[in-house]
Amino acid sequence: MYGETKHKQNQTKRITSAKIYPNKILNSVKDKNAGATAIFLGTVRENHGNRKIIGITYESYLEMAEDRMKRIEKIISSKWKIRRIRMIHRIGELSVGDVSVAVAVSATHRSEAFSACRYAIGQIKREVPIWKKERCAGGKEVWVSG
Amino acid sequence: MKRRRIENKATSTIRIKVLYFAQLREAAGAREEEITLVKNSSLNNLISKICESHPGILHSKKNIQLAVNRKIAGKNLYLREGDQVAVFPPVAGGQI
Repeated sequence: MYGETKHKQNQTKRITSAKIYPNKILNSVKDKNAGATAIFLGTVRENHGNRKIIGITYESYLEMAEDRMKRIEKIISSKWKIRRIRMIHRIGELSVGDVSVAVAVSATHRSEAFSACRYAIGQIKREVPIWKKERCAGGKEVWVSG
Repeated sequence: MKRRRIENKATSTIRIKVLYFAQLREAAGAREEEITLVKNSSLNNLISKICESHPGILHSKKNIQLAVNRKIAGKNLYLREGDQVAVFPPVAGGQI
């Protein structure tokens, strides 16, 4: 990633309370030299074990989360020859089916795109200070990991 | 003489901004607060003080992660005036 693209990447918000639109995420990594684009979407599912979920509330330490996400992007750019990367995580009250996190990576070839995308979501889960609370049917609320 | 005593007092303490997240925010009953400590206090001292004023946090004491000025820090780190300390549960993985 070079020049203007890099500057724009630094200005972009990686934590948002707004709905995530996969098409917008894909458009943001478009690149004429990319032969492959991989996208990962994390969505709120309806069941967790025996619990029926009606939604998840995500909470973040915003400033640190942004720092961590930028750091992950930087590491990825040094590990793989990618063209562009976009990572975004939603916070606030989400419903079943909503996209909570998205990672899109464009690269010259698919191997780099897949590897970088997989690494990115792993590191987001491992390093970025975001916590989630499941809102269950019946009114119970449970903090869970991941 | 009186002024001197005040000056000493002013420099013998430090003010720390503490942020709480997730379960620990609920246990503390606050998103943030300012805590005054004696100079040369460590994160460990801060945690003890927090647990005194918010006993609910005591139960989670082993599962507290700490960040000072946005960076993960060990409990032996010494704090400085104006540091921002975040107190939160471990950031954990989820299933692959």
